Amino acid sequence: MNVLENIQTALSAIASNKLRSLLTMLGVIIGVFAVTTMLSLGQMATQAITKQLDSIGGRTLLVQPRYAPGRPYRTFIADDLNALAGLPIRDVSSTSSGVTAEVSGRSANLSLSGVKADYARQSPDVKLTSGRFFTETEARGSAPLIVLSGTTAQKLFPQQNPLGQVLRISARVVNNSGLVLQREQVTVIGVTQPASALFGGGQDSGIMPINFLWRTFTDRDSYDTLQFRVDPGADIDSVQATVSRVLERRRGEKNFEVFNFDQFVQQFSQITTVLQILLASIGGLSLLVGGIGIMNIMLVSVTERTREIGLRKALGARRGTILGQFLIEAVTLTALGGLVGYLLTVLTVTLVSLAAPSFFPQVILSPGVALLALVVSALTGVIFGVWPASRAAALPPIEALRYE
Amino acid sequence: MSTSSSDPVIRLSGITKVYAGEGDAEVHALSGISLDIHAGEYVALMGPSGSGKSTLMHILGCLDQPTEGRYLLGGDDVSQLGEDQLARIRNERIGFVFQSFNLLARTSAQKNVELPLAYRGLGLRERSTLARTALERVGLGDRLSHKPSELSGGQKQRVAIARALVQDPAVLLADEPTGNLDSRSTREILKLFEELHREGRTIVLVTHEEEVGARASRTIWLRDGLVSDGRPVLDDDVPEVASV
Ligand SMILES: Nc1ncnc2c1ncn2[C@@H]1O[C@H](COP(=O)(O)OP(=O)(O)O)[C@@H](O)[C@H]1O
Ligand SMILES: [Mg+2]
Repeated sequence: MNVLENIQTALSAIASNKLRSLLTMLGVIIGVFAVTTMLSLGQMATQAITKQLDSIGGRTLLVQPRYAPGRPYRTFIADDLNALAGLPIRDVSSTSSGVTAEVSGRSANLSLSGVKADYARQSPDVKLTSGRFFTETEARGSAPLIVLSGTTAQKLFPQQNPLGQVLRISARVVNNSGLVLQREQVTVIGVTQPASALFGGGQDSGIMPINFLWRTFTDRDSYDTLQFRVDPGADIDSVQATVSRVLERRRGEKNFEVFNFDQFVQQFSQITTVLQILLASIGGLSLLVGGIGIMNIMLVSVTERTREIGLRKALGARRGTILGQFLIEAVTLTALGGLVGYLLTVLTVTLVSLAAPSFFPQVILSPGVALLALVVSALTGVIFGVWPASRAAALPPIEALRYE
Repeated sequence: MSTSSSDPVIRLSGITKVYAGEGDAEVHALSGISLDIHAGEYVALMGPSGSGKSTLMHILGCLDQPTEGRYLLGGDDVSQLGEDQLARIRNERIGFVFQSFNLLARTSAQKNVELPLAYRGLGLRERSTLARTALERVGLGDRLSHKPSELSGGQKQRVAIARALVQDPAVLLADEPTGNLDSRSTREILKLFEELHREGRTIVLVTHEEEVGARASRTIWLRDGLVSDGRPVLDDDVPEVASV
């Protein structure tokens, strides 16, 4: 009697006891489902964020003012940048402003980014789905041109081509005569791919020349944050230290923070790893419970089938043959549970990716996770099936036959 | 009785079987059985209920081990063999027919008959051919794919006999094979055993049917775990009630 026949026998036994088999498998199904879903989602999130951080530039420094109670909040100015000119860095700083955008009865709260003239050249990761970026000349001339994010364009111009449309934007600003409402008209010249929700992609946003923002909504030559690309070959840590030192001297105190994105990547992967371990151990726990369920049902099955075992032995089955039969039965049961659990994972992961494409843009089903599901579930069958199976195999033939 | 000069298929000498009863009460189911059974014999094993017939059959079938004594099967001492070797003997040299049929439920007649051949390691095709031939031999060539639940008692027992025949055993052992059957099926089954005897099979059959005793080549009477010389009194010689 070979393994394949034993599997066949086991499958037909499972089929003839569908409900019981399903209930028995439930623990394994849930366990495998929990473990593999968590691992897959973890992988997907990690990959998404790593990719995004990489595209922003793994070697990027970010400088943010720190708000201290009772002290004025100080942004950065153009002179700060000049002071850093000698370092092996390229300036990609921007400023931002919250504005209201209106067009033919529709409105949206836009997070407007003012970017430098060479923005398009420095940010190859920002992809246009239609239209164009402003040219360097347009940017320098603070042209009233805007590139909208895909979702925002969709929202403001449903069922029409946003390119060439004029948008009214307004914001309250403080000037010499106090708080006034500043209004501007800008022309849409491009639409970008929707950004990831992880970086504010959920918010409506647009990109304009920084000179335009300086002229209209924000303080001239001021920056909310400074952002630099560190040149290849330069030591990012020492550059970071120098930047920090120079700015501290200029501002008189350390009322700002310098980050680099590598730290984010590391922190993020630490967090996801901890989460994955936590959730996977919950899955492991339910696998344990599932395994005990399997053991229980196998013990019942051995008792129920004592006479069958006796008969098989009377016809020439050896101890090992019976052991193998019951082990294969247990493993078939758990492997089937594992398969169902894994299929549920595939389904869930796909649905999650469809529902939240900005967090999980790409479905990742690594062969390693599938293999893990199979091995873990089969192993559960072996571990929890071996005791009932060896009990069955040890029955002396005549006692098994006499059992009632 | 025709004694052959060749070695017996079965030789028992001084076989005893003691069951540990409750407390100190031991049950001496067999108290020293010695007998020879030769190839081609058709032996009827008779005796009152509780006389040790089943115990003896189980020892003959290597399903159980004697407490004492020697059992030679085809010249080999099987009292000394280990578990796996006994399994092999049961598979290759013994065909056992039970009173309660002992067929696998939800399994076709054909697959039931194939079972001992599967344990022998034969390939699927060979098994299938041999099983079909055996089922045809017992007149069930048209019931190959029937499950036990779709067969009458007599048919079930014929499947069980086919399962024993397919092993081509040195000896065919049947412990009250008609105990669970009505009189018509009983007659059919007994006729089948007679035919098998005529074809040269060695058969040991436990029965209460007087006529079997008459047609068998030899009748062995058991009483209180011993082979008795004469025909014992019949008072308690009633058929056992089927247990299943
Ligand atoms: N497993 C057992 N444990 C204890 N006593 C047994 C067992 N099997 C049989 N016996 C006893 O052995 C004796 C012979 O039983 P058995 O061989 O079944 O008789 P028969 O088949 O002739 O009716 C009986 O007294 C029975 O009670
Ligand atoms: Mg009996």
